[in-house]
This record gives sequence, structure tokens and C-alpha cells, in this order.
Amino acid sequence: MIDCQSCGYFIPLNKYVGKDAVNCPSCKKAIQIFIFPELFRPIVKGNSAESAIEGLDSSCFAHSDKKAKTICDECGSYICDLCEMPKEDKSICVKCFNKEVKVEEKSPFDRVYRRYSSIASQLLIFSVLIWFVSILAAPIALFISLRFRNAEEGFFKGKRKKQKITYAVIASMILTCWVLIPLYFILKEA
Amino acid sequence: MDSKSFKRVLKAKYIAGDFTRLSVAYWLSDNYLVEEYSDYYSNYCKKIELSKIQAFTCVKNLNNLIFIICFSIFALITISLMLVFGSAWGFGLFFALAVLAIFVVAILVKLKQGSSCKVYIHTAVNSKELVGVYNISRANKFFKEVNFSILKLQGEVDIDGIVANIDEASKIVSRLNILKKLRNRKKDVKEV
Repeated sequence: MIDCQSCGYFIPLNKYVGKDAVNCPSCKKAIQIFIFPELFRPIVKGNSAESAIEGLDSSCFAHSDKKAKTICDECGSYICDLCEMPKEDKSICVKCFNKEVKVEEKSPFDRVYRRYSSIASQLLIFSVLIWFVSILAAPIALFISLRFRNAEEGFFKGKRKKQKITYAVIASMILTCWVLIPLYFILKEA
Repeated sequence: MDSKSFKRVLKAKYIAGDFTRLSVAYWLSDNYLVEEYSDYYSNYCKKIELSKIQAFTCVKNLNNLIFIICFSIFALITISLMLVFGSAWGFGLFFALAVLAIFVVAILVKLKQGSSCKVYIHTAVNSKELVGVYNISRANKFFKEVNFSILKLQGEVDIDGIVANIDEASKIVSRLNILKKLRNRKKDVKEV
């Protein structure tokens, strides 16, 4: 079922099946629609749990008004039809299921990656623009680019090792300047 | 899952609601459409299964037209200033010409992009805006590549079969619309 994103009105099927564009019946905005077979797939109804009778049935650990169907094979708590998560031959509760998912290796799409090369480059840009900032920013940029040289920057971005090494070289050049320039003046005066 | 099995469909930069500049890229594989969001300090992805996509909708808006009108007004102001004070300006004339050139280039770019739009992806669970697809030329490129992959995976839409049951489905939709209106009214009454 497709709803108009401007007004929230559900657009009737007969308005757009076999057509490329439709005007929303409610707000009259022109909408271009591309539909796929998944839109017409019937929705499979989920389990519904029986209500527990007070004093007779044992109730679910999570839903006190639902009748417990079985016991969790991991933690032993009572679970109803809604909470039962089948895994291999076992029936486990939602809490244990989540725990097991966390233990398993996370998908790369569940991670937020830090972009260390971008952080180092920002620090170096600051160093070049405001020269006195470089005494703090350059060592930090050097540390970040060396410490996290093997860290992933994103699923599609890879490690960016070459960039990080370049930034480390630039940062060490700035630091060298901070050492050599005062040394030059000291020696000159001496 | 390997990143090499993905092909980049689009890349775009946009300003988020909190004025942070983000870049978003869309990657396509045989089974997934992945949105990759990047800002200066972080990068994360959201994947959508192609087999779960029900529809795309594209709604035109006036953002590009407003841009073009504003830039045209600025360009006209610059031209009129040049005509009035041009001879007295000397070097300023070159500056005014440079400003005019920027406006003209901006107008030409916006005209080439076509009108702006918002594209939404619909699944059984929710609908979501694709922020990187913000004008018609981008939308056409996106639909050309993604629709092909989805149809390859899900098959073609059987329009004849749907038309046979369309009246019943339309009745359900109209009932839902009535229910939604009633709910909204109840909310309004509660707020009052």
C-alpha cells in the first residue's frame, strides 16, 4: 500500500496500477510511481498468544496476561507464542536470542566507522591555515594517522593506508619545522 | 559479503537538518541496495534488500525553480548596476562581470539538472526518503539502474492479475483512509 508522503493519504491501487504517474486524490500533488511485485505479496500473519487464566495457567515472563507455551532452552523462563524464537532445534526467548546475535560476528552494515584519515586531514588543514594551532594539531594528526593506520574507514572506503602515511609525513614535517626554526634563531643569536 | 560485489549508482552531497554537510552514496549489488552516509568524522551504511522493496515514488518540488528565480534576479540586478555605473567603475566592471558569470553558470547548471524532486522508497514496514536523489536527472539515472535489478530479482508485475482484484483492494484502501481521518479527528479533539 502506497501513501502520499506529503499528506499521508493512502492512494487507491486503481489510480496507479499500469500508470507511471498519478495525482494524489487528497493533496493533488503529481507523484511518479514505480511498483514492484513485492507490493502485491500477501502478508503472512504472525502467531497470536492465548490469554492466561488467573490461578490456572502459568503466564509468560514478558507478557503477564499471556499463557506460557514453553520454557526457554537457554535461561529457563516461561515464554508465550509471541516470545518464542525458534533457533535450530531450540526454542529460546527474545533476550537470549538478542544475546546470541550480539555474540555472533556483526555485519559490516551495523558498524559506524571512524574516518581517521579525514580527522587527520582536518587537523592538518587547521595547522596550515592557523600556524600557531599546528603545535597541538600536528602531533595529534601524527598520532591518529600512525595509531589507526590499519583501522577500517568504511565498508566501501577500505583502510586508506596511503593517505594516512602521507598525513603522518606532513605532520612530522610541520613538527620538524617547529623544532628547526627556533633552533635556527637560537644558533643565529649565539 | 564483499565490497567488490557492489557497484556505485549515485553519489551526492547534501546539507542535513543540523547544517552538517554529509555525503551519501548508493551502492547496488545483486541482492542489496546500500546507502552509505559519510560526514567528516564517521561513515555508516544502511542496507535495503531489493526483494523487500515495494515501490519508489517521486514527487516534484519547486526548490530548483526558486534557486533559478533568485539567481536570475541577482544577475539582473548586477546587469542593471553595470549599465548604470559601468563607465564610472573601471576595474569594478571586471568584478561585476565575474559575479554575473557565476550567476549565469549557476542558472545553467540548475537548468541542466531539471526540476528538483523528492524520491521515497516504500517497503512493507515503512517509507523513507532517499536524500541523495534530489533532482529529475539523478532520479532517472537511479531508477534506470535500480529498477532493472529489482525487476530481475522480483520478476515483472502481473498487471492483469492485479486488475482482477483491484476493486476489493481499493475498498480496503478507502476504509483505511477513513480510519486515518477518524484517528486524526480524535487527536484534534483530544488536543482541544
